[in-house]
Amino acid sequence: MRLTVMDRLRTVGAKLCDVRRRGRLRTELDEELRTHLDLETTHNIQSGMSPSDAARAARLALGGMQHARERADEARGFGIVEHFLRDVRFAARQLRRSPAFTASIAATLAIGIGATTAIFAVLDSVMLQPLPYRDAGRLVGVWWSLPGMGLDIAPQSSGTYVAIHKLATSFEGIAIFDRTAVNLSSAAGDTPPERVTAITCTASLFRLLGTPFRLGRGFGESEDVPGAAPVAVISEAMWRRTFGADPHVIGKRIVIDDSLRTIVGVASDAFHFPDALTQLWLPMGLDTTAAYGGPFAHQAFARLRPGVTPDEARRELTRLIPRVGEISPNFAPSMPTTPFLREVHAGIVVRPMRDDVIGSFGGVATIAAAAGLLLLVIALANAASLLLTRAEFRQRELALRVVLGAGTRRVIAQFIAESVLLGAVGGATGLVIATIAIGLLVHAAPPGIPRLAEIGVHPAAIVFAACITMTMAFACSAAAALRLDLRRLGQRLREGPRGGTAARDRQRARRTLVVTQVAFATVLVSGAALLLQNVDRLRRVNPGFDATHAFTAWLSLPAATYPRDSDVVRYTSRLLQRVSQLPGVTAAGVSSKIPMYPLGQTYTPVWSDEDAGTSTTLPPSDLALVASGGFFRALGIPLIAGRTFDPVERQNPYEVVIDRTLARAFWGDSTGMSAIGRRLRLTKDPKSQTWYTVIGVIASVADTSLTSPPIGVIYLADATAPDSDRSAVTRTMALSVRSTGDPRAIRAAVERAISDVDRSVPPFNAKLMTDVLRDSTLRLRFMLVLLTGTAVIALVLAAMGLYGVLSFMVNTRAREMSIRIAMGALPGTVAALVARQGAGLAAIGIALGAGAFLVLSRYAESAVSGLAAPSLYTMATAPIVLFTVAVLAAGLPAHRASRADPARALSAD
Amino acid sequence: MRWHRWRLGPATRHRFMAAHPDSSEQVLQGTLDLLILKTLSIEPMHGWGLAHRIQELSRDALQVGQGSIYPAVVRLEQRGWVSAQWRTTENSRRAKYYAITAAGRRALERERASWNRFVGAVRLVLSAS
Repeated sequence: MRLTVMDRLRTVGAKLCDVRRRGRLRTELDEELRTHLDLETTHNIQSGMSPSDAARAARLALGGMQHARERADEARGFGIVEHFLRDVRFAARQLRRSPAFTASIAATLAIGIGATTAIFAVLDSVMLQPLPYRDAGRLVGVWWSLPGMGLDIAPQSSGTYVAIHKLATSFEGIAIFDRTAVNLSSAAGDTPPERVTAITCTASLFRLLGTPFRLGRGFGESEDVPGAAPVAVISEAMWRRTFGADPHVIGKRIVIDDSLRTIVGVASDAFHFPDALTQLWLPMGLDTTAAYGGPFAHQAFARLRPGVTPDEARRELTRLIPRVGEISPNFAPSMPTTPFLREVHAGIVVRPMRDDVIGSFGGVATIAAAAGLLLLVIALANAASLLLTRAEFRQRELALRVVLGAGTRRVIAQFIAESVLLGAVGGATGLVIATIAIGLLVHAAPPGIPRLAEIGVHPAAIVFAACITMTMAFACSAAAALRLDLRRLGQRLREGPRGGTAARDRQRARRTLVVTQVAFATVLVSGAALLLQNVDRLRRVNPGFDATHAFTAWLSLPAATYPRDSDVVRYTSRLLQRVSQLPGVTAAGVSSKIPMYPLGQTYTPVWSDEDAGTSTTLPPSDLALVASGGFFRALGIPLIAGRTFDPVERQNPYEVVIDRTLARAFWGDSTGMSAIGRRLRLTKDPKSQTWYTVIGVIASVADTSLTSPPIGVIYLADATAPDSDRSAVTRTMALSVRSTGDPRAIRAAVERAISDVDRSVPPFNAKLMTDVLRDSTLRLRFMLVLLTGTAVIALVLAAMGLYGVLSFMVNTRAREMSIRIAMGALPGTVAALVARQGAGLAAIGIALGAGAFLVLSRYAESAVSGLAAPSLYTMATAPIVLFTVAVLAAGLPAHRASRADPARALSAD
Repeated sequence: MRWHRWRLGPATRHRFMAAHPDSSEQVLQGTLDLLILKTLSIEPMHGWGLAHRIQELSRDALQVGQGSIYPAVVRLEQRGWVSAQWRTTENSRRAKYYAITAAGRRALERERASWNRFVGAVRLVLSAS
């Protein structure tokens, strides 16, 4: 019949109306059909049938009461949707009937989906979600590359910043900032000072990022010049905590490092820059007319003009390099800008700001994602394998249903309904698991993970979970339904449960799945073993200092109370005397940096007395530390030649201690003996008369990381030197203390001593040296935990898969086993037969997995810096573990096979 | 042309809607609707009566399963071509009587004309060969 649009609309309307009175319509239909049967029966009797024949003929003519009712009812409703719902209800009944199967498959799916979703959520939050700034796609980090100094990436100096700011046309604006920490107290001075993470930045920062303000505004250009009235922008969190959310806070004053500052703005909670820890934004007050460009020390970012790509900006800046010298002629006395930039082969790096924020996390994240993906595939294989086994067991039931008239489509639809239901349960549970896992992950995460505060199950992650759930459901049902040759089901019914070639086919499919699982589990276990090997290696690395019994705390002396270097030295001397006298303390010292801790890194080129100053190339730069004599003893850094510094108050500013690496670099002497008494200088200007005399050589210390090769370090004396180019005195210093017993025991006493010397100087970042050392490997150990977790789950899943396949094989071949035993085979032989099957499958999987891992580990080495190649032990670990698990998983089915009843061989099916 | 509409339209829809497809009906569904409308255009009737009258009218040439009547009238009712009403039969049983509506008559005329054209075309093709 040709239907007009009106007809179709009316039909849909009628169907919608009928949905509400469906129950009544069904009752009516039943009555209608009963009447029909009665009328037909009467009609049949009248034409001469017996009453029972008449009734049967009536039912036949109608095509069965139930059938007729279903068809009429279907015509009433929305067809396919209702079918599906009915199938789902049916599937739910089926699944409830076998709770063990349902639970195991739902759990498998939940684990797979949960783990993958959690990892995806982390990746999504950290790497995919845009940075929380206005139009963040146009924000770029602007860096130098100074290959001549061995630096792939270097920040800006104030001189280069001014030059780019004035010359570059690719940017709407550029901002620089420095991370710092300050002592904060109230203007009334009634509370003890608090240590706050802060940045100093140029005024352009707020405009470039589009900072949302809760109150007030960002500071302007006029407040960001030397000598301007000091101002500050505080975070909303600090506004609530310190100022009790005072609505009139703008214009109030706070004391920051002993200088009074006026609050001009409260940045909204939604704003984090550069990280969630930062609570204060202070004007940098850069002197753009300064004589010297200064060190490369400020991180810079810029906003590209619309339509400009990072690469175009990079090309423009590269063209501008020769002109930097016009704006800023000298970086430092006797270090003219243009020749310097030429000597170090200076280049420009412009990259999306996201890369600056994510940093080296990218490699870790990729490995985590790969692990999650492997786990997902293993779970998928397991679920498919379980469904396949179940389909096998239901052959007879399905064959019966097909023979009784259920269409093949109907049977497949039911498979899909079952899978979708399982997927939904697994997916929902998986989402819960993911949320919990993310909570644990965020809790256990090392401090280095960027954007930690933003990690959570975002809509994207939920969509992702739904997608993989549906994919898994359809893949599983397709796997199960495709293997089930429905057309031959009837034949199978006649064949009985022994199965023919098709059964062997399915067995092969299941074996393939098991081999896949074992292979992927091998990769994951190998990955965990590789990380374990690396963590263990780091534990064995001699860091060059003795972390036990050592305790450190950082101090920062405000310039207002300690204006001159001599004041700082006086304070240091008093502090060290005080701390040394504490019971249990064997040594105490201060330094501008401690090993394995990122604070206070300053690099400087060093020239030896053999270099007449005529060389035009720069020597490799070396770490310059300022230290007092006690520092080396406090951290247990062994002295290999000469002596260390005198006590602070008598320290000679022209004496230096160097490490073995530097001694070897300059004089080729590992013993350090020949370095003693030699002279070094920190500038190549031949006119400079500032020479430093080497008085001692210490063993090399792992300063930045345990994996990188040691770098040369020069330790300057913590003393005032009126005529030197740089002040060697450090205002931000680490106090290191060594104790006879547990360093925790003296911690309170040390903190009291610090407070006694000057109450306004609070210690911060107080840590046991053992913790500092442990924190440095935190990222690696976090990955270890992550991979070990996934590896264990993978092992369990693979063992489940292997067990399933073998026990299914024992079941289907029970008759063969009985015959073997009846014919005199020893139980041990039969068990070995099964075990051999399991071992064979495991061996193939292990071989494939080990091969894949070898390839993947190459990539891992490049993705995560400092990761060593897998050792022979590491390579052997996974095969041994997997094989053991496989043998255990095969054990039970093998045992069952050996106990096959020989009497069964005699009885027919 | 028309043949495709008659054959494929209802048949493909049917494939998704009915669980137990029956090949003779698949072809006939559209025709069945036409027959029901034609039958009801003479007088209102209940389901059993419809089944028997169609069988009589086609002189038993069309094997219409009695069970096919009911989904068909539901469809026609929802399309607004047929209305239903509970009444008592001559032997005082309650039965649901179906009657053709004005829209139903219009549809019948439309369909009858196109059916006749179709039959004529088939006859033309058959006699030509």
